[in-house]
Amino acid sequence: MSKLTWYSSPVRDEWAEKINAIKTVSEGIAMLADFRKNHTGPDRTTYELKKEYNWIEARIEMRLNQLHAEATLSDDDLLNKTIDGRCAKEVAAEWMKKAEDIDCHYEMEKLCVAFRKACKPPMMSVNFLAPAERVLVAKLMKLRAAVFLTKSIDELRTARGVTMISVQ
Amino acid sequence: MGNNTAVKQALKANPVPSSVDPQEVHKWLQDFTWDFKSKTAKYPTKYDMDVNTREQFKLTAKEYARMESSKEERQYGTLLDGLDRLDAGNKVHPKWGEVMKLVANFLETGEYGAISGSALLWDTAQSPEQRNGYLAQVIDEIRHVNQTAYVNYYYGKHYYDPAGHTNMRQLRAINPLYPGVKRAFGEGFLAGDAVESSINLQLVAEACFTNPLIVSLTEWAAANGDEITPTVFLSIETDELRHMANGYQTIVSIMNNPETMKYLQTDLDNAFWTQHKFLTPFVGVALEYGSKYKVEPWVKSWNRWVYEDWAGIWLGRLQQFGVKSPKCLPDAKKDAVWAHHDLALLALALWPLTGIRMELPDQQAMEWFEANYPGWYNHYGKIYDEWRAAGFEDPKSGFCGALWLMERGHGIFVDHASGLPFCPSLAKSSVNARFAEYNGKRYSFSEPHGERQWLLEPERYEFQNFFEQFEGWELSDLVKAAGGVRSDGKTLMAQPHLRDTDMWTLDDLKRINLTIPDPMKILNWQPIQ
Ligand SMILES: [Fe+2]
Ligand SMILES: [Fe+2]
Repeated sequence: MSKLTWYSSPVRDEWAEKINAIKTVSEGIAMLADFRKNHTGPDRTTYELKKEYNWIEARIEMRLNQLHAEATLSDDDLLNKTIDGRCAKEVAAEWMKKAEDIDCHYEMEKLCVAFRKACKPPMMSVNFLAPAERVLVAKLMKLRAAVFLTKSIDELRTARGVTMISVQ
Repeated sequence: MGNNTAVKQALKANPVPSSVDPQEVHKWLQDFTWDFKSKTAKYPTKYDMDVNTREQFKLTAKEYARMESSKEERQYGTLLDGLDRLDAGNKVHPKWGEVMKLVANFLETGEYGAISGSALLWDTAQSPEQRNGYLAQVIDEIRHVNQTAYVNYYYGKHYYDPAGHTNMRQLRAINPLYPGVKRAFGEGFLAGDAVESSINLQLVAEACFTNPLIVSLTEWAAANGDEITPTVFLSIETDELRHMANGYQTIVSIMNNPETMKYLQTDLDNAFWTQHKFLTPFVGVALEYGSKYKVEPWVKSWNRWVYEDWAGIWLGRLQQFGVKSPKCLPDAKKDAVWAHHDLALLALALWPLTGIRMELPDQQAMEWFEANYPGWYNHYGKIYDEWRAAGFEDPKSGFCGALWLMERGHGIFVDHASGLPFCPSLAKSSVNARFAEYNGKRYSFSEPHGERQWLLEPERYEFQNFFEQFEGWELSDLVKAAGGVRSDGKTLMAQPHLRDTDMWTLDDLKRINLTIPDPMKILNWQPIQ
């Protein structure tokens, strides 16, 4: 496969093989959830795949989409249910409910990141994902903007657990 | 069908006008409102945009298109007839003809981002009139994408060295300055809060920076023999008035809501810093280092347009609502003097990656720099004299400014907020470097405003910087992969001089023996106690 593209890497080849080996929707869900947890977002557990993570994630999504579409006969299920068969409307509403009592931007940020990792297609179809994400993110932006210029840099660094470094 | 009923009801409430007077038609169109209670936009925002907002231009799309097509006829007519006969493409000073390879292409990215930015505002606004204003801007920005691309295309056909005008979209992939464009114009214009995008695009980039950018740029172009750029850019500028007005209407539309002032200052400060971080140094480099004949020093134009006109008069009108000038303005003012000289040093140090021919400032240029920026020679000029003596231009020398800097302990880093390279130990601008480790990854920042942006919105800064992306590539392989070689298969498009003799080839670049390192990995980083 690498011969067909202008860019290839052993990492991509290795992942392409793993992805092709997935044969069921549930295997695909597990792989995608695990990959997003460990290799995407600011809270990822490792940056070892930082050059290729977008490509790999997209490939897992494509494969999972394909398996899901083949295994799901009704349009209604594709549009209105999450990939694991729950009612998408209810799932989206649950996430928005979780956001209601949050008044701290770090907490809200965690929720938005978690929502995206859990629900970005093909986990949930975009007609339910996008409206919910708009509500969650608007709230996050409001919480942040209100304190953006007033919190001290030291306070911000400490809250994130950032270590300042220099060259020895 | 429900839709038909809605149309019938609307027509009953608003009878068709009895004449075809455009203003009457326009007024009639404005009376059509949609059901905004149940309508929600696609994009998140902190603000409520007032459904009753007015728009100043009051044009129907048809009238508008007629006006724009007459602009197009004049512009393309001039280029394809008048300027062709005058051989305008070959009257441009080569220094300027080279820098336009970058300028036209980078601005094309900006125009492209502006299409999306004004489209997402169209989606978010509630007032039909206001949407009409944004819609006109979407069409304008599509026009501008074509126009800026056409500058490269025209140059490619008519200028004596087309290499680079022909394929800058490819070459820019390895240009260390290009991520700065992506952050300011790509991301700044169309991501995040729709109103924040409007502030980036219309309130700052257009209302603040298009005056110094487009007006100064056309003056400098004309002084350097370029009639092509003014013909196109002044045509673009005639649309900008409408865009600035759109920005003002964005603010008007949110001002009645008491919640607005909780967020507006934050968005204004961030947008100003984001746009300034790229535009102030980049435009300064283009004008002063890309020209043979000098006009007004960039710092003077900047002070007049950005500091006095925009921060003073324009923002002054918003003072009544409690809007203050951005906290970062004093740092920006300092940058207006020195940031472009800092960036020019790095652009010259990294010339093989720029895709254009650049030369070190000659004697005449050095005198002009020293006269207008006292202290320039002792800081930058001396380095350029040393580089010249060490064989900067000579393809057999194996010389590379970036290596020269690193060997003397002047590290080059990428600012993680703006995406631009900086050299902390040689910067005279507002650089105040800081380095951080977070969740197992190291980050570099050139100053506190960008660090703050990252600390508050880390998910916005997940890009790979130049070093991360190309770490481990040998320099000549990288240039070749990005299409930076002329039709003979070995001579570089980029050159460190403007002559057609002694041109550098891939082999000469190999002689430098540089494999791209990632400074955040190879240096001995330790926590600060
Ligand atoms: Fe434009
Ligand atoms: Fe514009």
